Amino acid sequence: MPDDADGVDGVDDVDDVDGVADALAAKLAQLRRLVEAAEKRAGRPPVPQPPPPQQQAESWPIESAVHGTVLDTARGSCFLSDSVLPSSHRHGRWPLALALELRGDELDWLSFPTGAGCACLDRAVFVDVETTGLAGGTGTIPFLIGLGFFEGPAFVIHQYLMRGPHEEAAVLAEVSARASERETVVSFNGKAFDLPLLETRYTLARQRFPFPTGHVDLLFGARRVWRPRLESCRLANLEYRVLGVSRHDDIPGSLVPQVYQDYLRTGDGRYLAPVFEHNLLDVLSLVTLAGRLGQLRRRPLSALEDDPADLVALGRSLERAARAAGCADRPEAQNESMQCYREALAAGLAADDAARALLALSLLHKRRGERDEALRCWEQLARGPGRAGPACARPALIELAKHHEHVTRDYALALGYSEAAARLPGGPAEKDALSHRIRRLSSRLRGPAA
Amino acid sequence: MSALAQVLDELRTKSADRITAWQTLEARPARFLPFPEWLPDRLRDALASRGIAELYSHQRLTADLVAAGRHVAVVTPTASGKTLCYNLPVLAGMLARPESRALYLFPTKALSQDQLAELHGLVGAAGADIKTHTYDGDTPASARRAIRNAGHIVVTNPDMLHTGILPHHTKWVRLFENLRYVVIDEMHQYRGVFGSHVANVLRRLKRVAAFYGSRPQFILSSATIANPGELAGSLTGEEVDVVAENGAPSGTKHFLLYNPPVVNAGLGIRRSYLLEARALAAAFLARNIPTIVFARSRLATEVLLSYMREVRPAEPGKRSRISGYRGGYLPHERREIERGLRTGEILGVVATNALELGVDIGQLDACVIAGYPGSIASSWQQAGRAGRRSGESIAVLVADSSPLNQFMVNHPEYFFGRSPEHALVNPQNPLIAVNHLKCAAFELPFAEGEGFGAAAAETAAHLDYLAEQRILHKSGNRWYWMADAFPAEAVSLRSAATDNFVIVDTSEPKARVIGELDRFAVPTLLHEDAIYLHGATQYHVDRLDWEEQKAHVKRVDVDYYTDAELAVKLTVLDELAAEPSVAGSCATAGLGEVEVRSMATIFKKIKFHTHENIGWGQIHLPEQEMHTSAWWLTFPQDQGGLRESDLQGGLVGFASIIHHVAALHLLSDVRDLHTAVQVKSPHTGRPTVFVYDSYPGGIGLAEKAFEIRRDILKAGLAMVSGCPCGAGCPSCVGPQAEVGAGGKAATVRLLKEALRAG
Repeated sequence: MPDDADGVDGVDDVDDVDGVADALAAKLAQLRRLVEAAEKRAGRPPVPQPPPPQQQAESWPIESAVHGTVLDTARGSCFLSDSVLPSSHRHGRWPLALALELRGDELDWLSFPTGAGCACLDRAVFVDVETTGLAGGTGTIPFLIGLGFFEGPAFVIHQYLMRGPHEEAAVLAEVSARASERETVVSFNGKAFDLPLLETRYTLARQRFPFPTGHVDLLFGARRVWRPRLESCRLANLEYRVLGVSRHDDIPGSLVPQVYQDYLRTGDGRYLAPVFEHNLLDVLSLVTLAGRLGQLRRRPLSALEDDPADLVALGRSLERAARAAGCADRPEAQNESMQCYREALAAGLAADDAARALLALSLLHKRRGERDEALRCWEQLARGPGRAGPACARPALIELAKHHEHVTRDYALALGYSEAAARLPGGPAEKDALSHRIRRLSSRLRGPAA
Repeated sequence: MSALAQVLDELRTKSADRITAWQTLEARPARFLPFPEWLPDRLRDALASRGIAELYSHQRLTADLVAAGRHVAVVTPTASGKTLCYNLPVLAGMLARPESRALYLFPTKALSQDQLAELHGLVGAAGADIKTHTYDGDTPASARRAIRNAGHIVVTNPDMLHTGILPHHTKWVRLFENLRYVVIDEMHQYRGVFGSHVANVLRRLKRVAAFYGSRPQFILSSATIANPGELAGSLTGEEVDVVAENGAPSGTKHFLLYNPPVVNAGLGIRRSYLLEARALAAAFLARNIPTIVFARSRLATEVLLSYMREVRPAEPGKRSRISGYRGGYLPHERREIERGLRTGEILGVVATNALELGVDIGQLDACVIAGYPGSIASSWQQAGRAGRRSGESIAVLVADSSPLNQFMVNHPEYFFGRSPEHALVNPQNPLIAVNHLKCAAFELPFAEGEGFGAAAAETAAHLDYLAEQRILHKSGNRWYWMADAFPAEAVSLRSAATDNFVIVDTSEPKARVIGELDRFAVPTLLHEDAIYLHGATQYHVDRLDWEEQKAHVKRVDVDYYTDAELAVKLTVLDELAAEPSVAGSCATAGLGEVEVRSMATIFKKIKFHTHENIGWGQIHLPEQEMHTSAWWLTFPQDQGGLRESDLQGGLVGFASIIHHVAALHLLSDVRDLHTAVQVKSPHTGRPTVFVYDSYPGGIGLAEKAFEIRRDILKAGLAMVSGCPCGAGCPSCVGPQAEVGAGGKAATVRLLKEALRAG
């Protein structure tokens, strides 16, 4: 034993301890006052004192509130809730198995700009985490990690819970065992949030990051198709407006950190039951969202079931993908987009969607050298600038001006179109080009005659 | 005769009566030592190719200590080749162990860019594959990943380390696993509140490094201060060796102390020091002598700048060759000015102490310091901007009429007595420490038994407190961060307030942000109808949106500036120490925690040049509240028949003199302390004078003042008794108009009374 253990004059020691404790208490009291004054200055309400611990907390451990088991691992224990659903399970309008139909092109388009890492989602892991906050950095903990994957005829969901932050090492190791066998990750906004966060956690725990590099972040595909029509591309909104999933008594994501704190404080597992449910539905939505997006890519016309406007967005997205792949001039690629625009127009669109479709169509015609068809579109757009909106009318007018300057050489007509275009609002570069064109046309009109 | 010699000659003949001291520091030859034997040939050759054949003695000593594994602080004046002191051993260490990493911390961004250029040069000449990168707020997102993984030397500032690196340390694994050196340049900048923050940031740095298994060596550089070893120790929490001998050469330097002439002997009023500084600077600029003028406040900087531009207007079609430089300028403006100074496009610059730092602005020959900058170390640092290694240079310190300034110019033996100040930090300031404890817990959970700059028991008590506040959660013998927040963002290292106000210029249809200001300065500088000066442009504050923290301003051209007054209410919250009076009838001293409520009341409009008061207005802004530490002196009610008005004047005079003397003895800026006078204090029931720290929670000044109060009182008594004025002047107890006819005598009496108490 060290020599200070033979405390014969223990009385002095006790006095000292009291003195230290008093000094500490005084410091703490001072700290409290300072913090309160600072909070008051910043206009923040004081933190409410926590309520006294609940009496029956002991009787509601997590396994009594959520189905699942406590795992004892080499790195400590944690809680796992397993759910198994048949692949034919319908989550909203579509069955989970729809996601298994995704192949090659569809996956490339969905995972653009990175690769999917696999040929079929049967070897993917669907990931969604619930965290103690959105701040990022090293202080945010993914206390509930939901993984989903297809296994034979079933879809399996593993939800790993840290019953306290000290169980993180165990959860991460368990997740590792599951995730490292998979070939690709499917997430919603996981590129910006879930995966970097998990990477941070693995680094902190000094464990190897197990997730594959192939990653399909559905947020990107969803934005391409639904952004023009829906005001928000949040998962909850997509579920409701696209997937046809309606949640009952769902806990809002913003309350999740608070609920976890309440659970930690009280040990009452009932707090977390809605979070498990919320996370499970999120994982399922990843699956049908992937399925639906793949289906739209495979059979764009199926968008007509929802809204013809989606078809326009889809057509534009297909064009962009073709450009990125360097095959924008391949007729098959062009036909697909043209069909989207034509069918959408035929099905009836709101004025500005129609103008967008018409303009996109016209530019494809131009690209293919189908000048008459392009002209018809432009003239139609030029006739109704009020309805089409300047964003579409202006490029059409400019195209008409170009056409008449260089092809028909009707300078007066070209000048008229140019001036009409110049009257509509536009960017400074465009404005410069237009004034240049107007000057040139004016001098051509005067020039040869003079 | 050189242009500078001509001005010196003129000063000698025409201004002799205003120059209270003329110190000529003779040119000093260099003291060299050979390269150390451990220096790799590649570095030896690289140095030779850059014309360096041997080292200054301090460079060699520092490098040797670092090579021997010690933490080292090197004390060197401006331009003495200090960067080699740390670059040499760091580069040698990296050549030997290429996986090693180093972190360079500079107090400002601009500085780090210059250092980078120099470092690149040396690395290039050595042909070494050592990647050096700056990582700060300006680093493009696309470059960040590469720097995090591949940068051998990462150059940054404490703020970026605090918010950008430590809270994201998992992205910096390579750096932290191999962190071998931490270089801290301009260490003397890290004092007071800023230093107390930085000491905590460094604790966090060491904690994160330890997590990844590294224990870096610290190399610090400092301007001359009294306690480099102590400061380095407080900042790093390590035992640090000090190298204080300077082996670099210097040219002849004239240092003048200059006292503006008395214009009203009765009232003890001197000619404005700003006008005198203008005249001096004008004499230099008229002869094309590159000149820097230092002013103590933003306001003084701007006033001087407009004066200087009148003296030397821009040539038609060209930009002015006179420029301002201070904290409120946006980064790109600052960079532009630094470049202009280096190329010579800018001839004169008016700066606040933002330029005190080692920013490389090339050779300046003259320096005018308008007003004692608050510390001897700062004075030398500012004077160091003029004159480098050879040639003659001049620095003139122009005193204002405050007691401290007058003391300095009238006691040159004190000023030149090489008695530099102590730089004080108090990393244990409860507010500062607990904020960084939060940041540290965010970065890594705390284990039981772990101390953070304090004993484990105290740290544990604070952690429990944070858990009670639901910011942390204790689970499995560790405290974990559990709030949905990013704590580093709520803590600013540079100012007391965490939230700044934005200044929006609405002169043009498209409003733009021209600067920002910390919360505590807003009521006196950005109240409605204030004239706010920025870049020598005047702005009228049209509207101050307190809730939104925005000031809407418009450009104006007026011939006045505004000056606001602050009313202060002080309440004692807790008395921590008291010195009981001997017989109950004499003065007593106390120390404790106080609450200070301050409110801006009115502002005055002051005309340029004449400085006459041409109007005033009221300020309607909420009261601001602060808890801090104070030292106070309480006097017996009965002052032996002293009239009420004289007692009042005496207390004001007493407060004024001990405020200045305390700042002098505590080696702190006058603005770091405030005083309050209560004729019948609610706490003591008697006449009381309070001296308190101007930062929430205090930074240790009041405690120190309480400790050395006898020295302060004695010096105060000597200053008042020794002042030749009749009944008070701005240079001792304050002008007679403020303290009354009997104020000076009453002050002397109170000082004696206070000294009697022991």
